[in-house]
Amino acid sequence: MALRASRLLARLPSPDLCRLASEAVCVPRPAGGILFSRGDVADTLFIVASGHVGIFLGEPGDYACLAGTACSDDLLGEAGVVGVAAHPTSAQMLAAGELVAVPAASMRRLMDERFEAVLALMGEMSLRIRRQVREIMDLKMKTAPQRLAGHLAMLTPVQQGPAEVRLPYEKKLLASQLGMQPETLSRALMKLQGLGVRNSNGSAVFRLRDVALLRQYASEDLGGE
Amino acid sequence: MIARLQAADVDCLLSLPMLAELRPDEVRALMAEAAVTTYAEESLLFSAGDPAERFFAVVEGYVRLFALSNDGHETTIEVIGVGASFAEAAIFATGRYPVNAEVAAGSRLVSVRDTALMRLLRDDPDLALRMLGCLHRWQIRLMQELLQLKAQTPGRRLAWYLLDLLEQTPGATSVALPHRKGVIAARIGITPESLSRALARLGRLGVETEGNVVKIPDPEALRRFCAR
Repeated sequence: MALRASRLLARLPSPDLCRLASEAVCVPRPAGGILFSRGDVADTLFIVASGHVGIFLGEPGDYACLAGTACSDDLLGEAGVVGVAAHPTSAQMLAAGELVAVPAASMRRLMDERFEAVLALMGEMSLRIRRQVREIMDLKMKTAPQRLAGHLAMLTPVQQGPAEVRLPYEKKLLASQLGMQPETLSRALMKLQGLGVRNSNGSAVFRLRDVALLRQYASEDLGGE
Repeated sequence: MIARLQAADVDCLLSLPMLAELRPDEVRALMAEAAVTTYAEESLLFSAGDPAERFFAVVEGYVRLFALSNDGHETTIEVIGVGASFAEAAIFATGRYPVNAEVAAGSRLVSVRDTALMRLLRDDPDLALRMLGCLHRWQIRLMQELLQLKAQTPGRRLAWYLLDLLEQTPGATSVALPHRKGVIAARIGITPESLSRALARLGRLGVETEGNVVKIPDPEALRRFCAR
């Protein structure tokens, strides 16, 4: 991925980007690959180019601690650029992908020289905070089928009409991703069949009859019945 | 109505996660640029697409953020309560408000101009770095909150839900359930059977159910149960 294509750096002047690009490396990682573990020295900022990364507030792979996910354009390991010495989280690939690894020191130097880089980082971090706040609100206020519908609709770029969605991670992770018991997830899926969602047992592929319908259902204020 | 900042407004700004590590003199500099407004009537604060010129904190009342579809259908995205801020992401990231905001009647908001905040950050790189640290710690705290919420037992999830309903009416000691129990169970992500069990278990905290009315004579006990 060209650095310029990333949301974080898109607005920075070319000479700055060229220098940063010469100091950054592109790292492919397989599913299950660990980017960093909690307590590791935080010396690299990662920009996700492709794939799906789990953020664990604990050991990597401990799904009771799965506290968020990152995909294209999201940042990981900001600790190193904001003056925190050790990573407070772990990051592990849920699906294979590619990342741009920027040395934290390079990013810090750029931030010293360009106020725009500071602002861009503040923008990225506050956008993620907004997403987290909304996820917490949904967890408190929305029904299980609504949360599943919203999650499936989010995984496709299709805005309306039929779509096929492949989970970017193993299906057994879906329940912990949504904070549901597995039985609750099964019942939610049964309910969504009435809204045209088809999924065969164990398959990570979901067929959606109408994405717009699912989006609307997910955003209804009432309990959805 | 625009007025001068009172002690409660200052406290509100000081306790925002984003400003938690600023020194008192830095917060004062920001306050000099802050405005406080009381809204007698429900009003539209900004529309999606408007240039983002201010970020806000709620001192009293609440603000509803909502999206509007082409056919005029409103979707509530977030409700911002007392002590919380919003629109900081719009200022830093896009420069435009991504959603609409409607302020409830009787609310009081403190707001800070984007230009004032930017000037402060640009003039003092160390301050900017500390604010980034605040955002980082805020992210971690939200992750903790999310995990706690996901790990809640059915009893605690139900207690949270009842308290949310109860707190919509100050001083209330009972709530009318707005949905059938099956719907409420699905809403809080538990089975209908565990909802019945959870209701029964909350009985020792004085919670009693009669039809669709739940009596909560001791809300404090319920809050303590949730906090445990």
